[in-house]
Amino acid sequence: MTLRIICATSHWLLLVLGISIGIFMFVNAGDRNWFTFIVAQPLELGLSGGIGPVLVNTAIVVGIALAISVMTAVASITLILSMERSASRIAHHIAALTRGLLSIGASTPRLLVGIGAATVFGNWFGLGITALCGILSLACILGPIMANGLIHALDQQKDRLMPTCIALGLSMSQTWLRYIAPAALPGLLATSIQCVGRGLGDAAALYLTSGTALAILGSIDQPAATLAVYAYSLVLDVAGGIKNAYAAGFVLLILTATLQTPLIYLNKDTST
Amino acid sequence: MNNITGTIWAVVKTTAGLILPVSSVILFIVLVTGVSDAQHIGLLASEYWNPARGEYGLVWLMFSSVHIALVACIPGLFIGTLSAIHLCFYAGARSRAIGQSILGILASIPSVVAGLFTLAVFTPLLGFTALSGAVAVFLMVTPPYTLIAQSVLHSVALQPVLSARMLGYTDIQLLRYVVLRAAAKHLVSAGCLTLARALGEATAVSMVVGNTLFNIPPLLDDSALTLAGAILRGHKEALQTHMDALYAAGVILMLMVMTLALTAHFLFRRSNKGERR
Repeated sequence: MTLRIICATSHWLLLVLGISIGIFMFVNAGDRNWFTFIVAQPLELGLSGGIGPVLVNTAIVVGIALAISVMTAVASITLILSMERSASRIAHHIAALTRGLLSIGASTPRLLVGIGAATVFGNWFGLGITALCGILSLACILGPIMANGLIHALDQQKDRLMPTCIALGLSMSQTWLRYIAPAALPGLLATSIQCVGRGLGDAAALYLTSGTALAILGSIDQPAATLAVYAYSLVLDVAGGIKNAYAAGFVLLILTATLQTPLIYLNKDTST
Repeated sequence: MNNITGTIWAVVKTTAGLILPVSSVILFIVLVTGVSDAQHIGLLASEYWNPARGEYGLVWLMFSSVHIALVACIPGLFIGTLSAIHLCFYAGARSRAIGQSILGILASIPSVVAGLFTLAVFTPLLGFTALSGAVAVFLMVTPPYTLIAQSVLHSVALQPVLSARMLGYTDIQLLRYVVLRAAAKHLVSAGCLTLARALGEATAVSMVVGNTLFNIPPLLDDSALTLAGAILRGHKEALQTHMDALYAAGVILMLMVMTLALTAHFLFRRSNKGERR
């Protein structure tokens, strides 16, 4: 009985902490017209005004980075699957090595990917601190996460469906395209949504690569702050910016929570 | 013609497929080659971190990183495991669904939000100290660990628990002899990954720890500077030697995280092999 109470207390402590994050962010953001805040231009280095251009910049940076990471992740998976199906031993080793490197890439701290991307794309390729450099660094963060999630989703369905499909005499391409890929779709969608959430919330890598400019992006060779970077730089780089940082943080929290909602249902579907 | 198209397709497919894995390798090479001048390495052994005075000692930054990560992770793993046990064995279906949903949202909160919350609630009480940093890291790492622990307990320990209940085990016996024995390696593996995440956390920590080292060794109620925080705050204005020191900080951080990630991978594989036997 005591153990049950201790476990329940720990659980409710976490939940109360979670709920209080939302409440405190909302209260600290102050009384404001939220619609105006979301669409208006930032003024005085973001100390007043809204976050309209920052939201547009966030959508552009995260959107393009996600598109690049989807393409590279699909290419990596195609390579791994074709290598694993090959009879050659070397091909199997390459597939295992690729899997290992993707796992390492996914578990590397975002800050380190940021510093690496700032050096390679910013210094060596001469992109400097621009939205393009930010997009590429975000793609380097999201790509391995996406590839790992997709491989995991496909592997789960492969183990479940492959023996039946082989027993029924279906060809490999039929098995993959008609059965395994559609069955893995909720997992694929969940990974994509998770990646959007990560992209929205990343501040460390983008602070080093994409910059803190608040104007709306004219082209991708200009610096541009995303919402997380804007909130972070208001706290540490701009004196007196804390109020707007809370408001931006609250919008960020609502965005991630909204993204998380379909994920809950998708996870339920895959676990049943 | 078909042969040429096939070869081109194979080359394109292989090149595209190798972009992500190769980028992981390039990252590590960049960090290592970034520590360009061997004579600067000597500077890294200095006791203090004060780039303005040309002192680049990383020892106390490492200490702060590990210190904050451990202070956050020890209660985090404890509370997370208990919460996971509640979700897995004691909570009703509705309570479990609500709990999982809230934990799912909590697990995905951006580090900036965790930092802002700590700034609003805990920094007025604790000041800009290592302890505030530990609270921010606790907020970041506990919910994902709880969800992982819950899924581990569900997949590994559910069946033995049902059998032990039939044998009349008490709750404490159940936890000690069944749950923790069945899931220990998986939980330690998840704990290693959580510690790795705590070490790499930069944004939330740098918002609340003060980012300076006044006292050495930095204690819980002193301001602190972590390896990740030094990189994030120093990268923009760093010049040659300072930049080399930041790369060295990156390499050390990467090695610490990789060691923990590999330990987790090794434990996970061993426990999976054990289950198959």
